[in-house]
Amino acid sequence: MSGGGQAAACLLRLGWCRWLVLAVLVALTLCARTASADDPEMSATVDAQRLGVGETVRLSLHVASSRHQPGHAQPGNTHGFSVMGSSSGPTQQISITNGRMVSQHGLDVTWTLRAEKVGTWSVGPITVQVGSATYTAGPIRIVVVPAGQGPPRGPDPFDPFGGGGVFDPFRSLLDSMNAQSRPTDRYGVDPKLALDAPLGTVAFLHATADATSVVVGQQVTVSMYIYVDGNVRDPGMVDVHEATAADFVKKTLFEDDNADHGFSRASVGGRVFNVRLLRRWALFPIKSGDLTVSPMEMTLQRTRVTGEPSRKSELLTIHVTEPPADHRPVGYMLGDVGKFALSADVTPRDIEQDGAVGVTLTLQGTGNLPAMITPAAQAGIEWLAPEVHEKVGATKDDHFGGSRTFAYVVRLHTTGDVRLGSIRIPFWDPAANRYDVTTADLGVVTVRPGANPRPVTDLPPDPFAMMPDVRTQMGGTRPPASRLASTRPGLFWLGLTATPLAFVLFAGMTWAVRTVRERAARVAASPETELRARLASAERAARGDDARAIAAATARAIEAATVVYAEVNVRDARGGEASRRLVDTGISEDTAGKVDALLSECEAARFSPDAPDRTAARARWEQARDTIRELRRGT
Amino acid sequence: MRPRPRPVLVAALVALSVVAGARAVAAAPTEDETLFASAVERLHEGKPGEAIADFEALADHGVVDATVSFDRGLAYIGRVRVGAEQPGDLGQAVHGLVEARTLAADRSLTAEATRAIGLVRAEVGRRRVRAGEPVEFDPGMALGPAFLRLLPEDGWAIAGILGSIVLGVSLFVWRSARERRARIAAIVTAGVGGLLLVLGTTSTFATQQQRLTVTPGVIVTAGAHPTDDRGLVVAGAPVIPEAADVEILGHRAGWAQVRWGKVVAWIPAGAARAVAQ
Repeated sequence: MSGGGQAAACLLRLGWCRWLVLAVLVALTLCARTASADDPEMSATVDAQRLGVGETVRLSLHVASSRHQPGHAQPGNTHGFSVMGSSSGPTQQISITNGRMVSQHGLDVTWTLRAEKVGTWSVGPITVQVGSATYTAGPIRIVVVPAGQGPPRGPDPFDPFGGGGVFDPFRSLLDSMNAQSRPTDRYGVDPKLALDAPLGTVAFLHATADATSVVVGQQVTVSMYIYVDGNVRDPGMVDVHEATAADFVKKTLFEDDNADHGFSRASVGGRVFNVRLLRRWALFPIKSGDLTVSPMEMTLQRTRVTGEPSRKSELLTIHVTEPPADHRPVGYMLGDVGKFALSADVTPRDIEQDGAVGVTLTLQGTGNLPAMITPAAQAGIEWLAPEVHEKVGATKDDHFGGSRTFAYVVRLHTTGDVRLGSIRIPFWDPAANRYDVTTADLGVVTVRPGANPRPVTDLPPDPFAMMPDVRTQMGGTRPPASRLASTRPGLFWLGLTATPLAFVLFAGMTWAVRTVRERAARVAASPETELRARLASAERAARGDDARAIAAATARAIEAATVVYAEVNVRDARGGEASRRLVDTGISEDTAGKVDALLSECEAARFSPDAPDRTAARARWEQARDTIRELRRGT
Repeated sequence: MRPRPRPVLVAALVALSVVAGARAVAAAPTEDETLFASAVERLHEGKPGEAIADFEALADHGVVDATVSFDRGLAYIGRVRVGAEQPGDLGQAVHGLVEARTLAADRSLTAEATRAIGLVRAEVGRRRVRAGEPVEFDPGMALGPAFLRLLPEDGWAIAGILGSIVLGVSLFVWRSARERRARIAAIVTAGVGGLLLVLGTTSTFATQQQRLTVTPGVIVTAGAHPTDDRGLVVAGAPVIPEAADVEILGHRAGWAQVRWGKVVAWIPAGAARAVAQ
């Protein structure tokens, strides 16, 4: 038997069952290794394990898995606390080691819990789903003590200002803030910064002014804050546009606007926001009216969670008036508002003629310190332009102030004890709500005659030597000019329009009278008028006893009626001619025949040699009247 | 027993005391008069700076008085004369004097103010010449405003009324006259009257409008650069010199729109001071 054949025979002697056991062991080992690799890394922490009622604690969970994305994290039992909010964010880490790429999926979840009851509470266990498995972390024990008895809280490890991007303008601010030790910081909620509702999602700017109604020159302190939701990671801020205040003199109350100016928390609509003071300015209005401070603008970097990235503060409107005119002191300059104190120093006090002394005026105080002092000009005293030094900035209680020094060189051209007078600066004190005056007496300087007095001929000619003298009596003002069109507009318009209107009225009335007369004349000459007259005449005749007159009146009435109703004259038509004419105009033959017959009867009666019958004449008139009615109906 | 005072005597004493008190009150100088007296005294003492403060306080009180304006102008000149000149003092001086000339009822005051204005403007001119700047205080006026200045507002109003009367009477004559020559004369006169009526009426309202919308002023700074409505200096436009007369057309935040000759531009509001009318 060969060697190879012996080895094979040996393996066969071990038996197939041994191979089976070995395979199972290898499989178990591999399975155990796989299970170990699938277990996620989990950690659950709180930022405080002892706190007072009403304070908040952050419960944080970090999960990392190399195979599955963790999700569906739940805080578990939160008895004794109320969940004010939560934030979560998936993470993914990819690393390449020795040419091999390893990726890891993670999940960071933070719950903000507010302590509601005193006691020792167990929070959790926190559950999270990784793949198809559910994992737990915790529980965590937290002690809640009565409000105000909790220990001071340390810096916030989840400071939203700390995670800014590369272009985050506040990174340096945060770094400096985190670098400082703040043993006195208590990150409770500041009620002064509370708002009813957030002004934007995740983060927003908020502007405040300490006064909305001031006088010209009075300080208005404007603060700009940024609020960031305490449960959201820092969205990062870029593209900062400062607020502008064109109608104000703007002085910053910070030495460096980009330095850390304080950090706090505020309740906004029931949620906790981290609040940072960005800017604080002292604004001094330069005129009266409703003046505005434009909004400060920024852009959020992480727009995925914030939506519209632009954020701007409110537009502030300040109502500015002038200080009252009553009791305004002489020499008051509009805008001099605050609390000032003036002091003066004059050296030397003994000089020669045309020599100079130094006058140093120091103005100290708060508010809008005057930038210029106008010394009291006097003959023989020449004030040269001053050298101004100032040391102004923020003082206590966010007031702007300091000192401003005016160093004058004053030349004295007259001899003797020269009184320099006094410098007075009136100002409006807004705190006392009244005017005040600060005065510095400059005292007396003794001027000795010089050794070489300047000859009079060296003096420049006075261009104003021919000026008139001062007048000592008020008055001489002419009364205000009368403005007829403005003060007595009625009289003015009457004067302007009376005569032309009178002519127009006269002409109009003349025309009206003439027109009426002409119309009356036209009416008097009309056939209708004549008919009415004939009818009336016939009626009168019928009431009389003269049969001839009745016949004549009847004939004239019929003739007038034919003119009016048939527009045909039958006065000269007899013997059937009248009837034809009437028929030609559309009158019925019956009516025309009646007319013709009546006319013939009337003519016969009128010219009959015998006395005509009165009764017949009246009856004829009755017939004529009926015929006239028929004529009218016929037309 | 003490004698009772007689009622008549008591009443007479009370009446006397009331009258005396009223006289005393009437004779007491007002605050403005006291301020004016103080200012004049300061001027006599050679303290024009303090006098200016008093005069400006009077102006702040709303005092419109020819003498006060005149003395204020002299106070500013006084400050220049004592060597304590502030920028714009000559402009302020001319402003006071122009105001005095405008307000004065006294011809001598008008004459003195006019003479003083000439002296101050001459000095401003000399300084501008030394600085190589153009010396032109009055670049002229547009035809319209110049025409309106021919008559005061009431003059134009009366001219309009006169034209109206002439027009009306002429029309009556034209209407009633039988003779042809008389009718022709009447219609020509009516035309003249109508023209006078239209001219007088429109000029009245134009003058009124100008009075209400345009305020005369004086440049009270060392000069004013004309700018456009964006605040940019108008290229080629001359600087309006100190002490020049301008017309203030309106105001905007910190700016005043002025007309100087044919130039209409914006200048800083503090550069032009309105003359009280």
